[in-house]
Amino acid sequence: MYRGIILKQQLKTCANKWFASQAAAAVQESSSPKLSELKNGLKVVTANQGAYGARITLLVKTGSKDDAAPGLTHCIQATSGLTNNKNTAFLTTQLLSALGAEMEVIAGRENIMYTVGCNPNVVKDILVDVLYPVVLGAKFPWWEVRDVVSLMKYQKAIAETDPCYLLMESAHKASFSNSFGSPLLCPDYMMGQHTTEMLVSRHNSTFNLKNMVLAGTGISQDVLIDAGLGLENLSTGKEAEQTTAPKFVSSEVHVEKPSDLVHAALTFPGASLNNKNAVALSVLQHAMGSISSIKRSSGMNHGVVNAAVESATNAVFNTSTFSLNYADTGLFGVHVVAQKNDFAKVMETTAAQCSKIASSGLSDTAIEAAKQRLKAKICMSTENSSQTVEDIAVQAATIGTVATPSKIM
Amino acid sequence: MRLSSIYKHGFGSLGVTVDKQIVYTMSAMEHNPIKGVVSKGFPNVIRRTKESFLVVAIPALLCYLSYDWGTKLQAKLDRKDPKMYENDV
Amino acid sequence: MASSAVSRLSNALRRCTIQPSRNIFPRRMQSNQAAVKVNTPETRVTQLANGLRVASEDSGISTCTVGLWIDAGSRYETNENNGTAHFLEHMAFKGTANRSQLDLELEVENMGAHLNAYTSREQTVYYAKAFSKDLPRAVEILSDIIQNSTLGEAEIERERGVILREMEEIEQNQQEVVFDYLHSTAYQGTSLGLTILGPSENIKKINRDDLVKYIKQHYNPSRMVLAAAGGVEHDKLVNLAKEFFGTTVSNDSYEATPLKLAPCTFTGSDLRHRNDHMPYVHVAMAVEGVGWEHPDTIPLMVANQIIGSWDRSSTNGAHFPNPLVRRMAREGLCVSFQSFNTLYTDTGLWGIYFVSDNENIYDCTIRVQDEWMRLCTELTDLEVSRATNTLLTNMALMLDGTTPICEDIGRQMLCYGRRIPWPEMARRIAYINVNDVKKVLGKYVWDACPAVASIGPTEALPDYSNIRAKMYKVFH
Repeated sequence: MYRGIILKQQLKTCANKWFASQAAAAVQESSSPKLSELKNGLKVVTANQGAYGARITLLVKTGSKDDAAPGLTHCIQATSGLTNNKNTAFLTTQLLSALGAEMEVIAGRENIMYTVGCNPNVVKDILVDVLYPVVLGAKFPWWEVRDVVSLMKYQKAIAETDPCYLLMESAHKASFSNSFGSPLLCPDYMMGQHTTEMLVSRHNSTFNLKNMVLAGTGISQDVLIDAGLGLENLSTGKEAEQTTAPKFVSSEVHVEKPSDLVHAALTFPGASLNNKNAVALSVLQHAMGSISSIKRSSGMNHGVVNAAVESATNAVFNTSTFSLNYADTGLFGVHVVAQKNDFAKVMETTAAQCSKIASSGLSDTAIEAAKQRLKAKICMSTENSSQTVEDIAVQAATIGTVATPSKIM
Repeated sequence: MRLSSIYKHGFGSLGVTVDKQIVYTMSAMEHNPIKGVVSKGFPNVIRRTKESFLVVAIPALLCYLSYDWGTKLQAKLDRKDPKMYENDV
Repeated sequence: MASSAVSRLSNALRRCTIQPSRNIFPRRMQSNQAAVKVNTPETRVTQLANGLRVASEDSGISTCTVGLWIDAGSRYETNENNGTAHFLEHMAFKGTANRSQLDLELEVENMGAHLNAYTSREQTVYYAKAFSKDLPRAVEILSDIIQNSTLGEAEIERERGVILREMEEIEQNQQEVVFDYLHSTAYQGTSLGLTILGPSENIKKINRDDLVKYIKQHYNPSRMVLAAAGGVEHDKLVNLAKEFFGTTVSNDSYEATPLKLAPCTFTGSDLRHRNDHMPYVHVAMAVEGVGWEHPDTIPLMVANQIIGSWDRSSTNGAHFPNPLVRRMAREGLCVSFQSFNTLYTDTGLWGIYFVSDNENIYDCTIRVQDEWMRLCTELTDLEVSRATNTLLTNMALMLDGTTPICEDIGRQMLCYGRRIPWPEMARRIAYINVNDVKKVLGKYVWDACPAVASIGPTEALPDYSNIRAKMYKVFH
């Protein structure tokens, strides 16, 4: 009842708060990210680009690579926002919508990110009343864990219609021998096999403040620090131990699907995020050609691989290079799509081109152009607050510092 | 619905698949019921009357004439002959 | 930032939203979101002598988006030339008198810039995203594309095939198809009922002359806006515009130019395409709303927000404050639904798109209409304030980066003739109360003839007269 009254009051005042924030938004013009660490171990990082709304991300350094039972991370993601030590699932949802906020949970190989977009003036309320309980106090009651299975199945079915998802899963499976190659989404044989005990023990061991980063855009750092100071470590776990870096292995994985198009990825060991070579590999990625920036372009001028394959075959195809940087490893590769009849030829040419680049290198002009493209991509990504908040959170979590675009250049 | 049919196709299904059927409907409220009564309807009445005037009028006239002739003839035939009753008291 | 170099391909990161996602609609459908941004940096507008409007907002950052918003789209076409606007968009980056396609691509790629274009029913947009220091080159390239496109015969032939393939692809996308159906039945007999891509017969016969004629008719400066956002100085942009677009003479006097838009009448009607081989029925149901400039737009948007949107992948549906979301999630009646408010110059479509299967489609339709009727009669104050809060947040968060801001400037310049400052817009939204919403719904939804379009196993979808009869309620 009491919460209900608060809810009503918040509703009435929230809309008016938009006008109050006018001045606040204008002040925040400086955009270099600021990082500080609180006494309780929580890292707080902010970057502002004068955006009107605020986005906050609470990042937890754990992901599918830590899954003792495959799919545990997926299950944690699917149960997020359900009953916790402060609110029921009902109240969490009601509070969020009363404050006009929206929450998104993204689970990856090594991070889980809880992102909320909202009015800058209600950030503190959201953090204290909603986000902290959701992340730190999750309870995982068995009936909710049971009910969430159908959702997980649905999410997986949707994801599997995307060949890129299947391809990247296979690429990781083929490239890493240990749990780093374990699937992001719950495999079929584990659906419904996760228990409250498994989830709670995982939560206790990894969801602690030392393992977390609170990142925000469009909000001053003082607010976040203020909201973060009162937190106590609810879980008993220690900071994640440094695990041995996953080893790259050469192998291949095939997934058969009835389709005219064949997707393939040719992968090489990449660089980790704090490795000097990460930037160099990103330049190489752009030199070899990633996704073209011109709508319906011929793709001929975007990197050297496309051009080489085009001159060697007359097939319909596309290649794009990717470079993924994780905390202590990386994956670099070429994604090839072609029609099934031409596929062998296209793949051979691509592989030949890759080894040619490896042995004889690239021309200076190609590298210059690639640098330019990479710089543009980095600068453009700082425009967007949802991308920025993810970036600064990941950086603060994995390398402990936040790089400015100018520093990278 | 027969039980065997439910067993075969599932409840609510007749086991018929229809494809490539497009149905257009327009709301009844979108129609204007008296639109063009004077401007289009009245001239139309004249046109239609003109077109079928002879088709209707000639048989109607013939019918009228034959009926008229028939009834008159009947009346004539039904008349009593006064001569037959001359000697009645 | 370094980690942004991590290719997004790694969608390693599968997303699960707690709030139902707002942006399911592809760009073509997206005109419904009238988003406005903080006018912390002021939007400055200048009109050149030939009628071209230049609008920009300077936020002083190192990148920028600059683009041309043109008041032309499939609405300006006829049955005979439907598809030309979209065809032209395809020809845009295929080379100009000054540079070949490969030269153009090389130049843009080496600048690290992006080039993009899209066509909607009322607008055609070409924009470039680049470093602020490359602004002059970006404007020059845009002007070159618009004014000196070669439109070579060989390229036209090749694009014909590309468009036909694109058409096949779109036919696989049920949502696109259903919205094309909705337009064709709601605006039957008018040019808004035409599709953007055009029928394949037209695409097969469009030739260079048609394209040139279309450019002459529609791409004239008085109907264009050069919009920019990011690190852009307005005076510099105006000078660039004068240099590269100043010479184009306004040819409004061109005899065939339709100077005024023909009104597009809405017809309450129904189009159902039955195909029992499909697993789901896709239904779009809409009443006639209002155009961009009409004051009733905002209450309709608020009403949209109250209905909300939902799909099976979002968690917590059963706890949502939106009653329809709750109902659908609890009863499992549909796969997804989304309310929409598509705005055009003088008309609009306000309605809902939902996907369900043959067994549930009847109940699903009834629930949707019950909710509409509830909004007209029993709407509460609390729901409206909740919806305005969410709407404000959504609008503020949507303008994220130079491209969305630039799109916003361009679109508002064409729709309103000015940029609406954020405080004005925010106040207009925040001051909406329950009576405004009820009044507007009573005007546009209560006892109105909806337009319904559906595709899939539509057998159990209620008959049109039944749907129409549920658009009002008798109380006792």
